Amino acid sequence: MKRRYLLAVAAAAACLGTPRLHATVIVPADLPELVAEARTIVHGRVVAAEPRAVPGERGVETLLTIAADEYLKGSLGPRVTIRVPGGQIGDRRYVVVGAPVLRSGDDVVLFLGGSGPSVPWILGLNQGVFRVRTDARRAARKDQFSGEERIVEAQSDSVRSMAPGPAGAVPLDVFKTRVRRLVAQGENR
Amino acid sequence: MSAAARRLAVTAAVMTAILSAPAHAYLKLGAVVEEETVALKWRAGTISYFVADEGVPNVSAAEFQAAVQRAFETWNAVETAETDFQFAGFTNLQPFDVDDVNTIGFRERQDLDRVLATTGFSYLVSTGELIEADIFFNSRFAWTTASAGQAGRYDVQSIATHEAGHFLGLGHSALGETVREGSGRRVIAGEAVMFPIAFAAGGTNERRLRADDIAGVSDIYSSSGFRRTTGSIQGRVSRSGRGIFGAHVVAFNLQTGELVGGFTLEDDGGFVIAGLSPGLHVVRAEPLDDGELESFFDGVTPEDLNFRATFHDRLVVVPAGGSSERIEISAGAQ
Repeated sequence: MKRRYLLAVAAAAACLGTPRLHATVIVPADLPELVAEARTIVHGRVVAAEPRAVPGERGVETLLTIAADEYLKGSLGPRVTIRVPGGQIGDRRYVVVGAPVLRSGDDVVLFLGGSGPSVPWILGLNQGVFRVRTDARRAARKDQFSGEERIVEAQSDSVRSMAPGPAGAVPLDVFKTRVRRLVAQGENR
Repeated sequence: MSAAARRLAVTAAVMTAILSAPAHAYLKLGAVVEEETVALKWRAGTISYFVADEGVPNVSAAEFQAAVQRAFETWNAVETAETDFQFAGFTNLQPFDVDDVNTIGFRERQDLDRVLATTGFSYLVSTGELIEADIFFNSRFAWTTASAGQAGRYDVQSIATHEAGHFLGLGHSALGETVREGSGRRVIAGEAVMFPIAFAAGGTNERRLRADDIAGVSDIYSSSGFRRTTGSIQGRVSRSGRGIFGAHVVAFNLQTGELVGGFTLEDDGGFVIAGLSPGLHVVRAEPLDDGELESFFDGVTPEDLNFRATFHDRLVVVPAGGSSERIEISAGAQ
């Protein structure tokens, strides 16, 4: 019998008003807030992960290289490097509870913060991560659907609830249209 | 993704994982060491921690330290667990620096601007031994150490009690209830300090450990009598004969009123809930519907969240020092 391993990391959770997720206690951000706060929004795939000691500090972080398919806000070129806290150096692994765990091959839409020439980071730890997955049911019946079979799933429930549908998922094209509209609204203000 | 592929993906992550034996309620942090999962835990008898010598408005460093100490003493006081955390002094070091010094304190970090507090820890990949843990409190928020709490301010001791659970090696518990409101959730009940969503700012409810928290810490740092005086429930949750992975299973002790939760962690829907007070229990299986799935699972996602909460049709007898007979819970569709 196989035993599956469940990782017990805390992620950005949903909270409204006063309730807060602790372990990683996140101030909830909804999609319009994420769009407004993000300097860059990119849809792409993780192609490399490189842990390192943080220059000038004593921390450990992992630099993730994202091969960009499309920018929904801003642009940082065909490949963008971002940082997330934690990583493994030698025999020592450093974990920040709530930090997103992204691996090479992951298909994601990322909402990135940053200031000046700094390496961008993901907003709100997990809140700025939207995983793109294939909707198995739609893919299996693709001949019956003309729509997009790839779906977007928010890592944060506060954002997930903005996307109605099974498990809070929303078709990728619908999600991108919504984000673009919010970006345009922000630019017109 | 197939079960095998998913397992490979998860194993490859070599991060925190649930222990395989002997049992689990709650979630424990663990690591894959030579293809075996081991608990992330401190090996030394006494774990010292330092407090950053820096306060924030309304909370001095001394007040912060006292609240943090009360939080650790809450865990130290669990009779069925052997933990000993000691305040070692104030420091100018910062939490989240990797320096082999366990540091707890306020700090401001741009990339953590929406994070109220969180725990970071280091462990040896080869052994699973915890070698450092820090707790970060975000100085941008309003805090209090008032004994009865303070409206609009977060209670240092409550948050520290939860974070100290992670510091010890505990993951999250699903023993809480929330309701959806607008674009988020509101907590209406919490039966574990390790439930991932906190009550409102101003409250102090989470200073007190519940049965689930006590079972969890006792499982990791068992005192000599823990295994002898507690028991476990084992069983399987299925729908239409197929095991459900990731179901939340809750045991309610009719005599003591204690609630302890666990998860089906086997491909076939198998589960074990340990650390239970002996006696008659009501057992219920339910889909995870409170909090964020990735608060509990990383790398894998329960496939079936669309089943009806289902009670086992009989009371379950938990013996001291042993396990119940294996029970079967057949859940229906919602």
